[in-house]
This record gives sequence, C-alpha cells and structure tokens, in this order.
Amino acid sequence: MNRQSEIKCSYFLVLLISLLFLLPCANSVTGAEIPTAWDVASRKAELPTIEDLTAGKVKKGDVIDKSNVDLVKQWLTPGTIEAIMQGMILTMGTNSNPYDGVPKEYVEATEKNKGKAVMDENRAVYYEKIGTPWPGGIPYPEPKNGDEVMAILKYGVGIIDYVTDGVLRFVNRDGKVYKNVGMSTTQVWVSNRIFPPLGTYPGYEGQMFRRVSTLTFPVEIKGQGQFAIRYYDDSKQYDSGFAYFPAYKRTLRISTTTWQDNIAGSDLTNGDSEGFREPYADWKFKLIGTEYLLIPEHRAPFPYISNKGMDCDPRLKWDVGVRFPRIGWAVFPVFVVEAVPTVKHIYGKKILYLGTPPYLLSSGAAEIMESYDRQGNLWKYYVNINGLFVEKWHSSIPFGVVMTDLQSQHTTQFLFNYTINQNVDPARCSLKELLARGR
Amino acid sequence: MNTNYFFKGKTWLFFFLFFFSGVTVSLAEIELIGETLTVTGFIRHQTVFNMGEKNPYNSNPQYDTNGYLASPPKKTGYGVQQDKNWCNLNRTWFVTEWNYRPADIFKLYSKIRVIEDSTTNVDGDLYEYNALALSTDHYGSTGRLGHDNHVTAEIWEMYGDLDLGNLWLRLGKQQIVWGEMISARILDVVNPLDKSWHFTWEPEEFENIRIPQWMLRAVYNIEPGSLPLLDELYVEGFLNPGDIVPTNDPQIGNPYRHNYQYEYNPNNPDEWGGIWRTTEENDRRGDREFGFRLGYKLGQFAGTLNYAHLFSDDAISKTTRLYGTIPAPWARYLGDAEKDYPRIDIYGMSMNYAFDQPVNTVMTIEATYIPNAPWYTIDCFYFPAGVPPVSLLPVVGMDYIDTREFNYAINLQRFSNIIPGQQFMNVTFQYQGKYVPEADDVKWTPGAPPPSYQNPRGDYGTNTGNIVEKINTDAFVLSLSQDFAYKTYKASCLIIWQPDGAYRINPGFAYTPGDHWRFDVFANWWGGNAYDNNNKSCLNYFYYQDEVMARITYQF
Repeated sequence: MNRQSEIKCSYFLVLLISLLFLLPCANSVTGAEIPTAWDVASRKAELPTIEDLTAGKVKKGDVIDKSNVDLVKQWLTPGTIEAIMQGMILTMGTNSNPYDGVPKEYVEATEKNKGKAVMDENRAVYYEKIGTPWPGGIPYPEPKNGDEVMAILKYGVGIIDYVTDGVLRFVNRDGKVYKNVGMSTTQVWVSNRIFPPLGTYPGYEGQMFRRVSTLTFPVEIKGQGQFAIRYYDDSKQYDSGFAYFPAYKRTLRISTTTWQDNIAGSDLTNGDSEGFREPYADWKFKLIGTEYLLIPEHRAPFPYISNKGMDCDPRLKWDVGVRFPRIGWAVFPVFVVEAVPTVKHIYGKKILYLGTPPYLLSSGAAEIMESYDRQGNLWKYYVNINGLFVEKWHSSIPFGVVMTDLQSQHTTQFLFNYTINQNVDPARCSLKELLARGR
Repeated sequence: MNTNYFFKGKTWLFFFLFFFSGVTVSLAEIELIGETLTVTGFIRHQTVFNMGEKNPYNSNPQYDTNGYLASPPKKTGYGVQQDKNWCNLNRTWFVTEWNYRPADIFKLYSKIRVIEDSTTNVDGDLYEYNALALSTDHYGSTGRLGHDNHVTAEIWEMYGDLDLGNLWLRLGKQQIVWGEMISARILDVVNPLDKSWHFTWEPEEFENIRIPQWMLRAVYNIEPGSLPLLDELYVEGFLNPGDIVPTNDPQIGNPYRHNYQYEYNPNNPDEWGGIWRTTEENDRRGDREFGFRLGYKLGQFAGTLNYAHLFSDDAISKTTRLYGTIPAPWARYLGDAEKDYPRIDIYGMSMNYAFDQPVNTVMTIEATYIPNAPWYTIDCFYFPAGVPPVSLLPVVGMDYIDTREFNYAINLQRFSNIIPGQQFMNVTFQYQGKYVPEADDVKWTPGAPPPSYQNPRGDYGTNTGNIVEKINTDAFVLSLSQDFAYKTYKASCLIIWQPDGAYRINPGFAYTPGDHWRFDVFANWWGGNAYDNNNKSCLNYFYYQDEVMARITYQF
C-alpha cells in the first residue's frame, strides 16, 4: 500500500468511525443534520424546532413580522407571508409530540387497521375489500398521493362528533369589527367511528356525516339553518341539503352549489369549513410534497377564547386592530395538497396544508388553506386558531378560525366553544332538528 | 300631515323606546337570567308611499259596487275618501322575542309586539278606519293586552317546545308552514292571514301576517333503517282544538281595501258598503282543525304527503232572506245573509329533487286537491243593478257549492355565482296555477259582472263562460336576490307575470351596515290590462296599489 492509498484508507476509516458514532443518534437533530419532513412524518426522526431549522437565528418566543420575515420565509406558506406583509405577527411557539392531541382510541384504530385500506375508482376508502366501510383510524399513515392524503381528511377523522357555538366576526381592513353573527353547528360522523357504536352507526349505513348549522343572532336571521348529509361515496350519491328560513318559516331544499356560497355573507364559504368540506366528487387532488411549515401550535399557553367566542383573553394580543390574533406558531411536517375543482367553481384551486401523522389534528381540519381565484391569484387565507388541550378527550381543539381575504383585506373570524365526542345522536341532525332550532 | 299627533297620547311609546335604547348594546341576545332567559328583538318604522291611484273601493262615490254610475254620490263604504292619499301605511313596531330555556329539552318562546299605526294621523285624506281590527268581533283570544284603533300590545306568538329525542312537540300560539313556494300558498294552508295592514306585500311575505293560532304540533322522527333506502322519514301532525280564526280583511277606509263587500252597519250608515244584513255568522270557534303529513327522503328525492281538515279562512255568504228594495237611483234588493266558513279537506303533496352538477338546481313540486272547495254559484247575485229577473226571486240570492279545486306549482331554485367575488345570487323560477274543473259553474264573488261582460240576454244572474270571473289562472314567477359586500347590501326583485295579461314587479334594496341597523326600500308595481282590472285573480286588480315602502329597523 503506497502513501496515497494509506491516506485514502485513513479518510475512509475516519468517515466510517464517524458514521458509527452518529448512526445510533439518528433520531436526534443536531446542527445541520435536519431530517426530512417525510422522515419525521414516518416516525424515522424527531421533529426539529424552529431554532434547529434556522441554526439558532430564531428561537421560541421570538416574534416574526414583516421586518424579519426573511428569517423564516422558507417555512411559511405564501398566504402566511402575505398576511405578515399585511400586518400579521407570529410568535414562535412550542412543537408538539407525536399524536399529542388526538384520542388514544384513534391511535389504536390506526395501528389495528394499518395496511388494510383499499380505495375504489371513486376514491372511496374501504376496509380490506370494496364495500366494507372503513372502521376508523388513519387509512393511509404514509400516503403516496393526493387522494390518499385526502382520504385521511375524509375517512380518518379522530372524532365522532363536534358542537361549535360561537360568533362570526366581520373585520374590515382597518381591523374593526363591524358585524357579528352567531352560529351553532352540530356534526356527527356516522361512519368510521372510533367510539361506540364503532364503525358505522346502525341505521345510517351509506352516510358519512350529518350536520346541522344554525345562525343564532342577530334576530333578523336567528334560527336560519342548514341541514346536510354527506354520503360515504359522494360520487355515487351527492350531498343532500335543506335550509330553514325563519323569516319565511319555510324549510327549503337547497342546491349543491351551496357549498360555494358564503356563510352568512362572511369570507368563509360553507365548503371552507375545516379548510375543505366540499364533496370530493367535484375535486381532484395532487400531493405537492411533504414539508416543514410554521403553523399554529397545537397547545396554547392559555385559553384564548371563551364564552361562545364572545370573550377574548386580554393576554391575547391582536394586530392590525383585531384582524390577526398573535398566536404561537411552531414547526410541523405537513402534506401540501393542491385541490382543483372539476366543476365550475368560485375558486381556481385550493392549496391545503394538512398536518401529517402523527402530528395531525383530530378534527381533520387543515392547518392552513389558501384559495386562489379563477385567474390564479392568491385570494383567501384560512388558518386555525389551535390550542385548547382537553385532557378528558385527550385532544387539542381549536378556538376558532381566521379567514382573510388577502385581496380586499377583509377578515372573518369564527370564534367558538368546541366540544367533541359527546356521542351525539345522529337524529339530532335531521329536518326535525332544523325545525326545532328555528323559530 | 297631522302634526299634533306626535304630541298627543303616545308619549308612553317614546318612553318605551327610550328605555330599551339603553339596553340594546348587546351583540347577541340580552341575557336576563344567564342563558336561561334571554330577549332579543327589533324596533322598526315603516312608511308606504302611495304611488298609485285612489283606492276605488274607498274613494269613488260616483260608482256603485258593480261599477255602475250612482247618482247622487253618497258617502258609502266605497265613497269614504274624496282625495288621493299619499300614505298607505305608517307603522312603528316594537317586537321582542323572549326565550326561556330551563333545560335542553324544554323551551318557552314568545313574541310580544307593540304596534302603533299612525297612517290616518299623518294623512288627512284618509277616512278614519280601525287599523288594528280583528277578524271579527267573535274572536277575542288573540293575546291582545290592550288596543285601540291605532295602538296595540299583543302576544303574537307564545309556545313551548318539548324535545324528547325523536318526538318533538310544540304547544301554543304558533304558525305552521308546510309550503315552500314563493308568493303562493299551495301547502301553506294552516294559518289564516291578516291582510288588514299591508295586504300580502311585506318583504317577508307571510311571516308577519300569518295569524298564529293556539295549536299542538308534533313531529316524530322515524329512525333511519326502519324502512330500506329512506334517509329521512317523519310524521308530523297538528291539532287546533278550537282557536279557529278567519282571514282579517282591511276595514272600510283602509288603503288596502280590495273589494266592496261589507255588511250593513246600522250604527254607521256611512259605512254602508253592501246591501245585505248579516244576521248570523257561523263561526267555527270551538270546532277542530287538524292535519298531518308524512315526510320522506329517498336518495335525492324528498317530499311530503299531506292532509288537512280545515275550515275556509274566507267568509262566504249565503242569502237567507230577500225582503225589499232600495228605490232609484240605486235600485237594489235588500236581504239577510249569513256568513259561513265551510269545512274543506285538503290533500296535498310536495316533492323535490336536487340535480347534481352541472345543473345544480332544486326542483320542487307542490300540489293540493280540495274536493269540497266552496265557490259562489254562477247564478247567485248580490245586488244586481236594476230589477233582477223576477224568476230569480225570492229563491236566488247568494249561495255557494262545493267544487273540486286543484292548486299546483313547480319551482326551480339555484344559487348562482353571477358576480365574481360576491355572494351567490338566489335565482328562483316558478310556475303556479289554480284549476277548478267546474269553473264555469262558479265565481269568485257574488257580484254580477260589469256591463261590458253582460251576456247577450242582459241576464246578470248567470255568467256562462265565466269571462270576468275567470278562475283558472296561472302565473310565472321570477325571484332574484343578490347580496353584496358581506351582506351589507342586498338587491332583490320579484316579478310575477300572468299570461292573462297582468304583472307585478317588486324590486327591493336593503342596507345593513352592522349589527343593529337595517334600511329597506321596496316598491310594488302592478300592471296589465286583463279583464279591465276587474278580475280578482289577476294582479292588475291591484292597479291602484302601486307603492314605495321605506323601512328602518334597529335590531338587538
């Protein structure tokens, strides 16, 4: 062995020894060794912090505004950046632990049913064979395409029901609230249930969820409501919807375009609920990638909102008047999905930022959603106000959502009380209930 | 304008409004006992400007009730007003809605309203009429706490809800609405209407004029799975144990008066608008009304099957005795009559279907069949001019028969994104009609046809061909409603066109700048030349009621 070969051999040994020292510590994140978001999503690595990602330039507690947004721009969505340019300020918050914020039954169902999901040509998900409803849990913990990611949102929700009672706040570009509309919603999943009755609620076979939403004030529209049924395969059977108009005391059948219409005239459409609540039959999905992003932290340092959305904790700061709540943001791995409507639609497309397992929300809500107009311009920006961890449900639940029209700079905030898994009888979501909630 | 009005007698109302102005800062309801007892409501003032003509049923002493010249003019029921009024309605409302919910399964609700009608105070050209009259003197249990001709305080609705899971009960003074059609009441047949103040022209259509009645309503939700394929199945029924209230028509002098019919009032001969004296009113108070429907949803089909056992909301008169004449120049017969509210059975159905993309339209069909609808007989008269054929006396007067009647409508509704970036426009198109197979044997009113429709024999006692009284009519309805700027502005337009040659155009605009204030402007125009404005089933019958309404509302 000549001298040159000895040197090469020495380099190789040094490299090998170094690798032998490093490999046992593969799950820890140090310095420049940032695992990919996919590695974190697939539990092969731990979640880095913003401090890790920025090599210490940004730490927990730091504030990001338009003067220093470049520090974290790489981990922000286009909508978040535009909102920051319009005055939104982020506070760097705390990362979550895996499955921190979903019920343990959800995790168990995911493990139990792992690898048994099958998808038909309509993108409906079944258990082992087509026709057997998915019993619950995440159908595709490591999804390979947009359809499998969106199957998590539809068939892998970690709750069986929720009730929101809150207020839609209309905020103008100056940051002043000029209108309030009360709204109460009950939604019950009758399929994919992780709490008894498990799987499919008897008598409701073929349905996915039932939902009743009612406006509670002002008096002019008090009692106005909608009742909708989503079917298990919405390509085979499209949604059914009814509306009750107290001003006329009539219950009316409503057309399918209602998902695109605004809720009480706000920035939110009915289909924007949870970021994406429209029938899948009208959309095609494409997985853009799995990335680290700054999104609202899943555990808030204190309860931001209370009293059905009417009271905000004085410790919660607001920016641009009350346009943007200054909440904590943390790094999470997210799936970036492009959703393009296949029917005539007010949106040209939606970009959905969905928490990956094991860092997803039990409600199945998108962390961030950005919608584009039909000309391809960024239009609206949807973000959850996450943060209330409820021990008895072992779930993180949101305080509300903020929907900002980035073009007009008008904002709607839906602030609410949110209860889950109360084993609500699906019959509570019916025409009778719509009538009973009316006046 | 009678300016003294503002300083006389109504000061308590201003105190009332002032008191509540101090507590209306709440965003939502005013919580009196936590969330258990809450109150919400609104204060509203509305003025309707008369853009039409003098109401012929109040204001033309030159003609008698058949359209014949009467000489000399007399201040009769159709001649109480000499000049055109500028104001059709001037009303202030204070409406409160009280909710008491001591438990999740039980709720008490009451709508209490104070109304102040100052129409005749602000427009001296109007005859002083009772703006807050009840249907008839027989009906007293209206929940009125007190009233005169201009002011009333009343419990408009009051009921309790009991929610026992699949069974839901509502007991109390309430409205029950089964129909879905716009500007037409096909299945909306349970409650009568109060047409006495703004006829049926309110922007909320029937909501504020449907007279609540004391009833029991029950809905039983049948669990899915009980019957295959059905997503929804329920049975609903109502029972009115005796609070039968008829239609409330406008009094003589009311700008919305729409016919000459009025019974003889011996206490005020000036209000003499008819020729008969009502000796008896066969009111139905104490009788029972009931009905039920079966509702279902099967795939994208949904619908109901209905039955209702009711009494006619509108009085129908029957001559009991003809006993004399009025000498020339009126030359009419006098008689006694009784008012009746015959029993009717209504069989109905509704069905709707939601068309998927790209049609995105809901089609709704409603129809009713009434086997025993009361219509005046073709050969009845009530005061034919001149001397009626002797052969008709004394047996013929006013009379009615049971006939078959069909009412139907088909409605197409779609939310359409017409203006990018704005809310969806609600577009509704409807076709509706009435079909009475024996139409040639019956008529709307007991009056004889006007001269232009006399038959060749000059025989007013018959109306073969039923020309002016054409009953089988139809109409096309287009309703557009568009919100702008987060529902701060709203534009709407309702157009009804009848192929017989009549139309109604009803544009509206609303401005709601925030939580509390709302400003509305609406207009109503009637036109067409069908049957020389004489056919009650044609919209040009209301040619004199062109109007513009302005409304200010403060809600809390």
